[in-house]
Amino acid sequence: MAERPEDLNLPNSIVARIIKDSLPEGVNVSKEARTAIAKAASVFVLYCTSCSNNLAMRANRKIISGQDVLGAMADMEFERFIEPLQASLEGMLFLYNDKILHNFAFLVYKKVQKERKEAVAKRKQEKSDKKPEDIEEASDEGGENEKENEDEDGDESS
Amino acid sequence: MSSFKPKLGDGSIILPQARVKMIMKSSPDTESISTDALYFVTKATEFFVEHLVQEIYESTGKSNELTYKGLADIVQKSDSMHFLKDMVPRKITYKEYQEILKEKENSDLF
Repeated sequence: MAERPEDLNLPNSIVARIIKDSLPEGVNVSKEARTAIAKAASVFVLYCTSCSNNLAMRANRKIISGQDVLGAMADMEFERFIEPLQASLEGMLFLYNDKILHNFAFLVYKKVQKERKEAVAKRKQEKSDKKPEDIEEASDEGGENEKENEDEDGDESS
Repeated sequence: MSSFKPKLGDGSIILPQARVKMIMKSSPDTESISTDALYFVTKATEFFVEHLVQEIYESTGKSNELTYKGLADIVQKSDSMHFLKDMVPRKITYKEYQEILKEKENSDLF
């Protein structure tokens, strides 16, 4: 899949929102500044990737780990981000666990509902199955069947 | 170094991780990225934007107008922003550019 230039940039609208939320109300940010900041953020991603990758390669690993990124922060002189990043991850896991619990409870509820429906449907089916059979036995082979039934009853009682 | 208390530090994410991953993959020699690495890079980028913007705001004396010039100034001055130097150059007039070229020619002659 060919990479279009805009794909290697972060969405301007979202970057604009972060900028706005980071400033007090009433501060105007020129469009030119916003675009430049968005591009700077993309370059930051690349720089971060490069530093993290270096750390991973030095440790002979092919997968960039979270620890590599934190180490890269130190190398890039952004130690101030390390603690907030870790706290943020805990916060995210908490939110995620909350969501998992919620989803799990919902799934259990759905399952219980389904089983109840199936049980009700099964009982209905059994009832409607019995009726036509009773009618058949009574009209066709009445005598023999009654005998068989007696035998069955005998077995059951012993 | 004052502690950085980001507004977006509660765990939620605003930037799209998929897009961040695409940018990361365009970096040479990058093979695989773990999920927590991607999360950290995405979050760090959000923090970076917040931090950068606040630095500009402070450096212009809390001016209500945040311009390209404010950004260029802080990038050229700040040590931690050196990786952006080529990307966010200070703007000069064409006249200034000609003078720089002249100077360069003169120094090359020697």
